[in-house]
Amino acid sequence: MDNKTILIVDDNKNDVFLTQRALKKSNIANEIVVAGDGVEALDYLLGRGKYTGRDLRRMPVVTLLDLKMPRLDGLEVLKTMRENPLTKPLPVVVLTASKEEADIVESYKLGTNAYVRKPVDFLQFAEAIKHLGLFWMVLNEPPPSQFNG
Amino acid sequence: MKGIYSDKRNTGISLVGEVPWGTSLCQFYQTPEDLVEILVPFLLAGLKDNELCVWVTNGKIGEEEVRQALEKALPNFKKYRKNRQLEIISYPRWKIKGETPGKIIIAETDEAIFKGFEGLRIIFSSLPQWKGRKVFLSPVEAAIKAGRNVLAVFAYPRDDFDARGIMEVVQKHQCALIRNADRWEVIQSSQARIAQDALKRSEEKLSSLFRHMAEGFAYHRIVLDENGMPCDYVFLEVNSAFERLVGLKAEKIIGKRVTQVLPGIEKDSTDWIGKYGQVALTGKPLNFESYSEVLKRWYSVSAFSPHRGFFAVTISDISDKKSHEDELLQAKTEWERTFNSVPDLIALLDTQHRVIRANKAMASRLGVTPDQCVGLHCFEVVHGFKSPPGFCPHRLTCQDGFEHVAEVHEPRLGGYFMVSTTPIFNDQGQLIGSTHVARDITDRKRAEDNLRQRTAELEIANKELESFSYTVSHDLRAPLRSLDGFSQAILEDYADKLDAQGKEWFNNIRASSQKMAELIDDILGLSKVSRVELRIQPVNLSDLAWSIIKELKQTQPERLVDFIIAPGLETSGDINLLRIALTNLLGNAFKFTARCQKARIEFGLTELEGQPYYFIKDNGAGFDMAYSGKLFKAFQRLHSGEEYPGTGIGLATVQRIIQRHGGQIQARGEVGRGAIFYFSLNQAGL
Repeated sequence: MDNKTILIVDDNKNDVFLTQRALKKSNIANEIVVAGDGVEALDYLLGRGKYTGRDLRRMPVVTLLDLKMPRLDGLEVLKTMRENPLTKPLPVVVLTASKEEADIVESYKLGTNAYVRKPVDFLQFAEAIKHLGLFWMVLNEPPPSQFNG
Repeated sequence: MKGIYSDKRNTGISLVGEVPWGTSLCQFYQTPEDLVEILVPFLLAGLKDNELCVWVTNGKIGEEEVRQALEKALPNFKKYRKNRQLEIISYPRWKIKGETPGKIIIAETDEAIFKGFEGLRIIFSSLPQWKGRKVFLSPVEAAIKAGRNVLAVFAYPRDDFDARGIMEVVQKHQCALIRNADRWEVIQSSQARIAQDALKRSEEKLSSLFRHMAEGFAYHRIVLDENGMPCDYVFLEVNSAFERLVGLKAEKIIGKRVTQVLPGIEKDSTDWIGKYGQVALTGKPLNFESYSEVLKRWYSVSAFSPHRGFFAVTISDISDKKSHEDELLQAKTEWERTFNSVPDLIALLDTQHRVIRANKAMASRLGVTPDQCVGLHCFEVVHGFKSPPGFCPHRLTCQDGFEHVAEVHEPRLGGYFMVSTTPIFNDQGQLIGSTHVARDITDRKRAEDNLRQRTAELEIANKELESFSYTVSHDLRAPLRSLDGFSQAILEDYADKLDAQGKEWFNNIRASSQKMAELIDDILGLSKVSRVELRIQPVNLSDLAWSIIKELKQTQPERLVDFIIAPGLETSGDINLLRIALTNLLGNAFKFTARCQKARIEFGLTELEGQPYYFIKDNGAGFDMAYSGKLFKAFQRLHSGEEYPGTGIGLATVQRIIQRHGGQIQARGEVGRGAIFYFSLNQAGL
């Protein structure tokens, strides 16, 4: 488990904090990388910008992707990820406040693996994060390609 | 013409019988008794037949003897004298009566007619020798020649004439009466006999024609008033066609005045009597068409006068023709009125694009009269072009003989027009032009433009609302999540530093955050049901209700509620929206029966004011009808949140959904006794 990274892409620092707290409370102690917007997320995933030279063999076991963000939004990140062979197989969970049908439909069209709405009630939120963590970190077998050197 | 009208006169002399007007007879007498024997019956016949009778006496039998003889034979003698129908006058007095001696008989006959008599019957008795006879014979001959209604008897003393003399006298008359021994004999002059035969044959021919002709024929005598103006006329003879056309039997009208036969004729808008009077007095024929208000028919009339004071008419009934003409005229008038009252611009065009006819609307748009349009080239006068423009539908109709339609913008006429051209063919099937109808659609166009603009504005507003909703949904929730999440974090991490009060307040923060999140969700839901596109499909409301009830039961499995759902409530609508509506309505019923011992919730179909309505009925808390107006307004609540939780948006959402389905919703309730919600879905044909 120690070499499994979780990428959280969210511009809201409080949400990031609460997500991390929820993960921790669920005893998921994986390395967490936080990207403040879509640009930063792609920089990390593709080894660009401040992540230039990063070991691209280490890819997040799951990316928790917010949709509404400055500069580059979640749907654009998802689209770029699915177009790039390097990131194409990576599991993505859209984690957002929106429950607009259009957003859900578009996310699945672009190839998200799951869509989870952030509840306001922290206990419910923590419960959701716990389930997500368990599923993606424990139960799910990640695609082998990301370990290929 | 005489004879045709049966104007044969009874001579009163059995040997002679009837003779026509214009007959002069003579008698050779020997004694005064001879005179009385022949002339008194002659005069009596005339008096009886409404003739003016004049006896000019001379010599052997004077005025007094004549008067006495007549008085003896005639009981009404005095009446006739009084009526001035009978005149006994001595020759010397008679001779000086006329200003023009040669025309004295003509004048006297005319006077008789105007006085209302049929004619003049005159006797000259005890005439002197041949030489002096001319003085009174010539005026009679002149009157006969002039066609006057005159009948004369000349009495000659037998002993004054030898045989030759007698024959000479006879030749001057149609026939002579002469006493042979104690018998009267009639000697007819040979010339008179020949003429009479010819007349008889011609009369027979004419008579047959008269009887059989299709036109009505009638012969009349005009009647004048004291001023000599025509005031009436008398029917003398009519043929059967006349009887048929006028609808009057001959025997009922002959000898009668028209004012008796057709009362009110003098007030007819056609001055029949005046017209005929002119003909009878001037002798000028007259042809005219007139409507008789008395007979209620149209007649074509030819009137002429065979002799003064008399007139004949031939008439034909032209009422059918007239009514046909009237119908045509009316149809024409109606058509023209319609043509000119149509607001569309209509022109009939020939194949050369020339205006054959234009209606008022067309002409007034062009600033001319309809007549002034005729012959003008349509393309020139309307568009100001030298040849038909490309869009001209009339050009296409002329090419293929079919109807064409074009939308034309013509600034010269100030607007947009929908122009249609319908081909016109002649009887041979050749195209001769088209009916060119231009309908002004400027207002419609403007309305369409406005509508388009408003639709565009609405779309923009909708987009803005969507992006606003998105922002609300995303950004308003994030702080709430922090409020809740950090409160929870404090409660967890600093539990040992907080007393019960502090913990409770943090819990209040959490509850408020969640409440607000719920409100946001409901507002978004409400705006969503307004914006989302309807997807109509068949929906089974009974099944839908049961699936909702199943979810409701799971939220409070401990509750026992009696659900009665009518089976097979089939309709059509947007199932997602209907689910939201029913969830709210059934959810409310479920919520407000929470404190009931035996909760009962019904869903079915009923009728309200004759219209089918669905209903959802519960026996829960109900509501005060005084506040029913607030039920369907967003954020309006009739119960406190502590009593029954809720955001106050549910029913507003339901109403929005029902309205979007073309239906209506209303509620009845009573505090503590439950509520019924009725709704219809017109979208589904309900």
